[in-house]
Amino acid sequence: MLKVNHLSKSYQTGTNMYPVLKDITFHVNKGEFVAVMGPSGSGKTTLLNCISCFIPHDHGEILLNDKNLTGLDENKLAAIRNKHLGFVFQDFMLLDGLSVFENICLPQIIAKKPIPQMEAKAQKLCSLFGIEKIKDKYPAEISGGEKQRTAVARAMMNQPYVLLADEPTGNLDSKSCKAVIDAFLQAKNEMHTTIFMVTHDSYAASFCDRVIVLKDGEVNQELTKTGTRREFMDQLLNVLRELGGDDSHDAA
Amino acid sequence: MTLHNIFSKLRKQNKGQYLMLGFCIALSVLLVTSFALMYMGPTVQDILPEGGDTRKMASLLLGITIVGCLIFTVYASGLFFRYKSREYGVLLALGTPKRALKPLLFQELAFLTGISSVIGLILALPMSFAIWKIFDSILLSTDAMKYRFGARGYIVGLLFCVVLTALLFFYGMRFVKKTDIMDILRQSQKTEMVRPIPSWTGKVGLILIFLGLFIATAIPTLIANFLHYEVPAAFNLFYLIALIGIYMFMLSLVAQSSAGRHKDKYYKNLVSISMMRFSAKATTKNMCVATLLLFCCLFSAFYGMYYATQPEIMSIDNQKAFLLHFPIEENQLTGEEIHSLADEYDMTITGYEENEAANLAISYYFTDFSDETSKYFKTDGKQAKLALFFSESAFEQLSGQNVQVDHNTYKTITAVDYKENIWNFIDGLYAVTNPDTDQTYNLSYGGSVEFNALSTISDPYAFILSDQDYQTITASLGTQYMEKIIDFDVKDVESSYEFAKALEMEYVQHASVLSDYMGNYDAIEEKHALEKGEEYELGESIGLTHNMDKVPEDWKYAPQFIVVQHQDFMKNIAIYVMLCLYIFIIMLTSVIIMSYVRGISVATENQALFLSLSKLGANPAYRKRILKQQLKKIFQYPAIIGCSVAWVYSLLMSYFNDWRIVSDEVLNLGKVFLLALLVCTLLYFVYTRTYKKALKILGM
Repeated sequence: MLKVNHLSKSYQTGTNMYPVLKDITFHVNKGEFVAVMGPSGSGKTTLLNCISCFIPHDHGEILLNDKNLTGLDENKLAAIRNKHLGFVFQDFMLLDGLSVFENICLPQIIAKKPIPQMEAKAQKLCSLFGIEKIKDKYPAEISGGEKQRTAVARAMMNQPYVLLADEPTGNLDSKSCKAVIDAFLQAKNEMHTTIFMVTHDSYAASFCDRVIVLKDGEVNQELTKTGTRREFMDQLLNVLRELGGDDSHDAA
Repeated sequence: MTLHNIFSKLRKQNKGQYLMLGFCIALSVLLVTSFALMYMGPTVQDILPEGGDTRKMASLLLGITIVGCLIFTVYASGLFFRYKSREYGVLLALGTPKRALKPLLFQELAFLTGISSVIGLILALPMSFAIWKIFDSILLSTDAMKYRFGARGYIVGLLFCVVLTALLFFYGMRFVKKTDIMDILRQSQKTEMVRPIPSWTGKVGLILIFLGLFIATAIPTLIANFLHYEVPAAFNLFYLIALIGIYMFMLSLVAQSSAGRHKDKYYKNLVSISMMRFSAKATTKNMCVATLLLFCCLFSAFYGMYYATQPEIMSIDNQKAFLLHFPIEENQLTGEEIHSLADEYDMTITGYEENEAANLAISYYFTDFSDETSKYFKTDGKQAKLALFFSESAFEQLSGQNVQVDHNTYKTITAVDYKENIWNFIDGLYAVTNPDTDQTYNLSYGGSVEFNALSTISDPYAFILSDQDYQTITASLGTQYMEKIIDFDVKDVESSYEFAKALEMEYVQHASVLSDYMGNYDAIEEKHALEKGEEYELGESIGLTHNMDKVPEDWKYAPQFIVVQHQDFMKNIAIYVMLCLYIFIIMLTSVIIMSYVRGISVATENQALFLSLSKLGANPAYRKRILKQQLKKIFQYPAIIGCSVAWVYSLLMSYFNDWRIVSDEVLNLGKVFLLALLVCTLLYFVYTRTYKKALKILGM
């Protein structure tokens, strides 16, 4: 579903070039839940921004459902972001002036989809993610977990090929964190959604099928869950400890 | 590196913000001071009568100018402080105490205000001179209207600088006091509560606008005319209804949203509406101020036009260009002397006529007003005062018109297109008394005759009697009640100003104590007052002497020379129009600055939202549409509502002033409409500039 081949990205400061991503290659299969972890400065967020096409990359290619995203103009990229990619951000990025229901509708409002179909879909997602009761409330009136579930529902609105999540549990307490992970799992299990999540949270990552570990802009290793979630989390914690540390999660 | 160095670096980085605030301060000082220089200058002060309505109005205009300038400068300072807030937030977060920031901010403000004020004060003189010169070439062009410098204008300018500086310091102090690190640094994550706006808000608002305007303008006139009652000044509070209406209507336009039956439209504008939901009330207040400023801007222009097209302007139709009336016993200028003076000035006199008229005591109905009950009431004034009566043949001779007056009737002399007012009735006279013989004669109304020259010579009117009645009634009337009337034309009226002024002087110098009366002096009223033991204030001397260098103010026997009246009137108009134009410029400047600042705020305050939209796949066209919708609200709604309300108000004023709309008023309303279009075009231009700047801020 998502293929990243030999991706490189550098930042230039004055005459100095700082490579952030170095020849990264990996793929994510359809319906797979994959996390990217790594210490601070390992290039996690830059990788996600390149995949989202928010920033251009220097070399390599990104294929989404076999379509190369490299070199597309802004309008085509906007269409891809709207139709084929779903986003969940750390700070939710819900529009304060819209109700929960309206926020969920937003991707289809932008895409100018027929209204009855849009409303029916949003209604269905509200039920699926357990936010039906708060659908007429505004972001200021709901909890962090509810905000993030709203964000997940919004990301699912156009049934994207891949749901990209940037530290989705970063601003949440452990209870809300679990609720969000449950929302991802629901999306994966009931809608066969492919999820690609950047996180520093081992607990959240332990629910994934596979974890790609980055270090210094390179893929250090890939870990695939074979046993229980608990065992997988221990495995992740060990790896991260060896790499020089990233945070663990108290709820573990 | 000290905090001073850091501030100096930051200043260089943000010099655009400093320039913007500095420009606004300099502009407001420039506008107020140049306005004050003109208004307080000796020329305008000499022309505007002391304690007169025009002077009061002009002082009010100066007040409005000061308020308008304060509003837009304080508003511009808001944007400046907003830009500064991020710097301050970072400095506070890094441990800089507020007490260290305060003096630095005040130093910056003092420097900026000082420099900008000095620039404004220096430029004010050439600016007022330049504007005067522009008017000079269009309207003024008389020797009496030369630009003269008066230092008092600078005192007003300096006081304005002091008030402005104090106000900016106050806002600066408030800014530092309110600055909160978390608010600044986490601005993008700030969420606010939404307050729903009921669906009826807009409709009720619209009704209130029209209702408020109608009640405040029409009802007092209706009540005065039909119920004969003068409403108290507090009735003006009904304008508040219109103001509330504007606010409600604006609020609904800004932030009301419900899907209703038009879901397509609702979802299409959803993001745009959502952007305004939190700040709806603040935005609406801001837009209301812009609307009111536009209203003041257009209404001042209308008022200037209204003033400029008063009917007194030179019209030679149904008129004699020169008219003198004085007590017949007065040893005044003779016809020969007048002709000889005309020869000196190369003037050819035509239609020279002399005749006489009699002051007789009149019994008549008129409207009076009771201060105690605030009511108008019709009253019967028995031998209440004197009025001037012409014989049929005297009137024919003086006016060149044929007139037929029946026995025992009278005709009332009116101006052309005269419309009766609430006070006097054209047919109110029912009896006339010879004040010497006390013989009373009943008369009935026999119609009216239009002749401008004699229409204002007597209060309430001058009348015409048949020759026979005139002879009978004025028999044995003492000469002290008789007036001599002289009227004539000259071949080239427009170039007769110098002659008219010379004639005025000759006339004044010939006047003796016999003519030394105030404009409203009336011998019968004086007699009645003295009989009752009351003081008669209008009986005082006006200080007439033979060596006066100008015609005294408020003189019963003031000469009526069209060319002089026209020049005096034009001077008043020129000043008034000039002052109105100033208000127009100031209000428009305020609106432009406020709308621009608000427009830029839309971009700066919603950067996170536009980023979210971009991440959700909104293409540039979609985002640009959202931005345009926001900016349009800020520019379009105040422009449309402000201009419409000003036009409707002008219409109501024109109509209810005298219950009709004459061709000049239609023309003025048309001009106001064109001016409104011009204002909208200018705002559109500012909108496009703001849009470009906002696109730049949002990286689109």
